[in-house]
Amino acid sequence: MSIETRPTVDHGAEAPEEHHDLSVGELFRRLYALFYNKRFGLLLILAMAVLTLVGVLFPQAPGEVLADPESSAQWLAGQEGRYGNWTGVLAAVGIFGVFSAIPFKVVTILLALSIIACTTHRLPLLYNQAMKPRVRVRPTFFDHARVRATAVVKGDEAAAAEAVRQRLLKERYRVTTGEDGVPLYADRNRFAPFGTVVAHAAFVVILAGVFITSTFGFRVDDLSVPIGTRVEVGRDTGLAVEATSFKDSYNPDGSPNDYVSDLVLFHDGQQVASQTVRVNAPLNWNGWSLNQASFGIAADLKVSAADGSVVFDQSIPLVYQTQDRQYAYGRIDLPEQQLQIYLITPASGKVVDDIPAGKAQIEVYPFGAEKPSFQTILTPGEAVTGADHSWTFARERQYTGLMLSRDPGAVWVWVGSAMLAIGTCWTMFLRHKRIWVRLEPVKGARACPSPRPTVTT
Amino acid sequence: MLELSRALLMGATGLVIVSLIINVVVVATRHRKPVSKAARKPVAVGRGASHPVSPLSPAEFDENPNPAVAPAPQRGVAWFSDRSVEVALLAMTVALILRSVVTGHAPFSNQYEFACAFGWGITAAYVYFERKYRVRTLSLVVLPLVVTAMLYAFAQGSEAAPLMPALQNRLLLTLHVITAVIAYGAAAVSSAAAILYLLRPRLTKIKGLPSADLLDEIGYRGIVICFPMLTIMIILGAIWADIAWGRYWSWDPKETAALVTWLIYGAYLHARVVRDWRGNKAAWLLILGFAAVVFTFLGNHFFGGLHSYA
Repeated sequence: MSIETRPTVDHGAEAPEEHHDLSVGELFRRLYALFYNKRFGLLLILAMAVLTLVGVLFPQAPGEVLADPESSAQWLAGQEGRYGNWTGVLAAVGIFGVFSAIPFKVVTILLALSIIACTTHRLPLLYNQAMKPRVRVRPTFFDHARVRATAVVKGDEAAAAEAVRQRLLKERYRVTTGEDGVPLYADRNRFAPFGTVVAHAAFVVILAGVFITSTFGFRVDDLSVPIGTRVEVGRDTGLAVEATSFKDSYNPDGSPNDYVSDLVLFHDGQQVASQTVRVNAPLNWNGWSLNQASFGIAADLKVSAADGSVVFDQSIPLVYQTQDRQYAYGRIDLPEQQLQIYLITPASGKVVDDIPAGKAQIEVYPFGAEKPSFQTILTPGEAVTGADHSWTFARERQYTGLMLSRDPGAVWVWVGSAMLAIGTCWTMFLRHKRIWVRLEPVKGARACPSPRPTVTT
Repeated sequence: MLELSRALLMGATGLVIVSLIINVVVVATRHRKPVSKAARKPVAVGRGASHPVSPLSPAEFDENPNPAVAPAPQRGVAWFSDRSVEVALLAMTVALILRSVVTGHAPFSNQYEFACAFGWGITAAYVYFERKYRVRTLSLVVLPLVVTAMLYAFAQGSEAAPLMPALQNRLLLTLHVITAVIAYGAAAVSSAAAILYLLRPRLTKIKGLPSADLLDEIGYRGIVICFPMLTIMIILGAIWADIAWGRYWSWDPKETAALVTWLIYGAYLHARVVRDWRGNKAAWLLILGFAAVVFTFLGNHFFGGLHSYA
C-alpha cells in the first residue's frame, strides 16, 4: 500500500509554462537586501583584507610605472631575479598593481554600497531602539538573557520597586515604568549605537575623498631643483621653484640628521611664497604643497648645435644609481634633436677607474637606438664635439629633491577620518546599556514580595 | 641612565617570568572548591565562575541577613604573582620614561624601543583585564607574549640613535606609536582569550577554567579598546604622512599591513553580530588579527618602504 502525499506533477509539454517574472522594484529590493546583509558585508571586508594583504606581500609598481609600457617592462625585468618565470604570470593577474586592479576596485565599490545599504537599513531600527524601545518582554526572555542578575530583597513590593527605580535614576538610566509604577525597562547612552552610523558614513566619505584625490589630484614625486637654479614645473601649473640654498647635516654615526632647502615658489612668474623646507615642514601655498624628499648631486651641462646656438644649458640631477652603486647618472631628452643623453659620474664617495674624479662621462643615444652614437669623458670647462653637437660639462652642484602635490580630496579624507575616530570611540566607549526589570515574589520566603530584577545589556 | 633603563626592563622581564611560573603552578594545582547547594541557586548566565553576579539566595538571605562582607583574600603565591606583574609594569614604565628623558624623545624610534613598548602595552592590558575579570588562566597565554616581546627587544641593539629626519615630529611620533602600543597590547589579550576559547573543550582536566562566554567577552572587550586605538593610530599616521610626504596614503607595506589588521578587526566586530559567525569563527578572527599585528610589527624585516627604520 502506498500513500500519496502530494499530487503528481506532469512535466510534459502540455503543462502550462510557469512565468517567474521579476519586477524592477523587486530586483532592487533583493539587491538592497543583499547589500545590507551583514554576512555579505563581512565577506566583503575579508575580501578587501585578503587583497590588501596580497598588496603587502608583493612589491607594488608605482602607478606612473604601470601606465608607461616601457617603464613597466623595465620594472618587471627588475623583479625577475626574485620571481623568475612567474613574473609574467603574476603581472598578468595584476599582483604587482593590486590597488589599481579591477578586483580591488570592485570590492571597494561593493563594500561602499554595502555600508550605505546597511546604514540606511539600520537607521530606523536604531531610532526605534532609542526613542521607542520595547519595554515589555516575554517571561522566557529573562530565562535566556545572556547577562542577567537576580537580587533578593526582603520587603514590600512597592517599596522595592521604588528602590530599584531610584537606584537606576541615580545611575543615570532613563527608566520606563508600568502603570503600577514598577520599573520595566531602563537604558543609558541610548544614542550610542548611532556612533556606528557615523563610523560607517565616515568610511564612505573617506572613499569619496580617495576617489577625488586619485581623479583630480596632482602629484610630482621627483622634482629635482639644482641649487641656485629655477625649475619650471610645467603641466599647466604655472609654477616654478627656485632653490636658493641647501644644507644637509649628519649625526656622528653618519646617519642623516637634517636636510633643509630654502625655496622660492613662483606662479606665472610672480613670487608667491618662500620658506625653509624640511621633511616635516613643507611649503604650503594655495592648496599646493612642496615637500622635502631627497638630495643629491647635479651636473651642469651645456649643449650647442653646429651653428653655435645653445640647445640646452641646465643642471642635470644625477638621481639614478647603477645596481652596483658605483655610478650616479642623470638623463635628459632633447626631442627636437631626437637625442637622449646620459651624464654619468662616480657615485658620492666612490672611486672608479674609468671616470676620473671631478670628470663626467657622456653617452648620446639617437631616439630608439640601443648603442650610443657618441661617448666620451668630459673635463670641466672643456667643450667636446660629437654627434653634431658641442658638449660642455661645467661643474657639479647639489640639487634638492622635492615632491609637489595638490590634493582636493584630502579635506574629505580628514572629514571622514574625524568622523571615523569620533564614531568608533562613540560606539566602543559609550555602550547602550539596557535593563529589563522583573519583580516577582519569592516562593517560600517569609517576607512578602521581593524584587528580582533581571538584567540584560 | 640607559643602562639603568635596560636593567629595569630585564628585571621586569624576570618578574613576568616568575609570575608566569607561579600562575602555571596555581592553575595546574587548582582544585574545584565545594560549592553549597544554596549558593548555586542564583545563576548568572553568560558570565564565568569568576563573576558571581548575585551570590545571595533566598535561603542564604534568611540565614545571613547582612552578607555584604566577603572574606578577605589570603596572601598566597597567587597574590605574589599578581603583584609581580604589577611591579614589572611599574618597572617597565619607569624604564621607558628614563629612556625618553635621556634620548629626548618617546621610546618608539627603533625596533628595540618599540619592542619594549609593545611588551609594556601587553603587560598593561593584561593587568587591566586581570583586575577587571580575575581570569588567571589568561596569563598562561598573555605573559609568554610579554616575555617574547622583551627577549626580542634584548636581541636588538639597545643603543640610543638620533631620530632620522622623517621621525623628527615628536608630537605625532608619540601619539602615533602610543596608540599602536595600546591597541597591540589589547589585541594580544584578545587573542589570548580567543586561544583559550578554542582550547577550552580540550582542557577539561584543568579546573576553574573561565567560561566560554567570559572568554568571548574578554576577547570582545579587548577589541573595544584595540579598534578605536588602531583607528586613531592609522589616522595619525595619515596626518603625519601628509605633513612629511605630501600624501596621506602611499600603500607603504607597513601602513598597508596596519590596514589589513584594521580590516580583520572590523570583520571581527561585524562577525559578532552575525549569528553563525560567533564563537569559534570569531575567535579565529581574533587570532588572525593578532597574527596581522605581529606581521605589521615585524614587517620591516621582510619589506622596506617608508617604515623601514622601525
